[in-house]
Amino acid sequence: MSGLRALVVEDSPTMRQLIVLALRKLPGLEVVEANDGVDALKTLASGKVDILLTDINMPIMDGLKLVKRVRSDSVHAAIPIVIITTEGADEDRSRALALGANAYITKPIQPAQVTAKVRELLKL
Amino acid sequence: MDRRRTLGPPVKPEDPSALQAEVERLQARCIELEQALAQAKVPATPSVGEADPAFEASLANLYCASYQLHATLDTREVLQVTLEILLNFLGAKTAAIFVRSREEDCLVPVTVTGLDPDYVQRPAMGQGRIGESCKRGHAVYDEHAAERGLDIDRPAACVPLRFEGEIVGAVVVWTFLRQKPNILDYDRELFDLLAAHLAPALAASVLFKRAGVKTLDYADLKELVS
Repeated sequence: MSGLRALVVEDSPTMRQLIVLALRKLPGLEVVEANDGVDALKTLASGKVDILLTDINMPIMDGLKLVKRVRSDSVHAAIPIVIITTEGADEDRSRALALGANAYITKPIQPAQVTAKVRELLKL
Repeated sequence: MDRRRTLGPPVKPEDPSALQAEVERLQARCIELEQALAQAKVPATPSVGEADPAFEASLANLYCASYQLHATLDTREVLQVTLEILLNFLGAKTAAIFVRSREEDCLVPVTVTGLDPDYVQRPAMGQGRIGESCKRGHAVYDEHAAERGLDIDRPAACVPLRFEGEIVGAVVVWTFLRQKPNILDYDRELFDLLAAHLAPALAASVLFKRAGVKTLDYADLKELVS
């Protein structure tokens, strides 16, 4: 794996560190971070992103709005999106997947679960 | 497995509300069983070189928790980080951090999540499950809390906080998220970390603020280490 870039969008520094720690186990995957949806859109506009992992509940712009914005943007519409959230209800999962998320992981996470999903979506 | 508990009483097909309730009960039971299965799949003694996902997850949680707890000297941030640990790493849904008031000889909730703060009492030391746990200095875990739901007098976990050999507060979790309704074995390691590290982190933040220190300088340090 080389030259791939993952964007982690999470307002909790504690959770963000855990996800980044997990992803850094994947050789060749560069990990960039954003604090909320708006911050993520700026990062998307400024460089290549191959996969996006986002929380739902965030200030300024939440994860579902971010998914909607990314899917309606012709440049980034095909980026695989993984939702990582505390929202465990079936309707939350269905809503996120209906908006275009590719996978839905509920917290608390196991790092291996996140890396396995990233490998699967990036076909590594 | 208790088959009666899994199947439940028969439901009349013509009663939609009962059917809906039955569907919700079975969904909750499925989540419980998935959790139990995930735990059962973790090998007791993984062979050398074999990754143990639960153990790896526990180590990663402990690393990030201790890193973040001690990465700030701002009291609000210490409390916020602790809530993030409770929510994101332990899957807490309703929780609070209590600090002991010597003046009132009780535990005062300083931050609450998932509940109206007015709903959370100030337990006296030695009274109720929280006060008793703190007086004795022993963490209390209730394995049946998920079945019972929210009961303010019976938390799922009450972990006394230690500072210089004294109990100065507690971390209390009443309920966990539906996808992770029970305390797992590895959660106790994280609770132990909070028991030992949260109070010193809070104390450091308070002392830092009171001392008006802006940075670390050798001149301040040399008297203390020589």
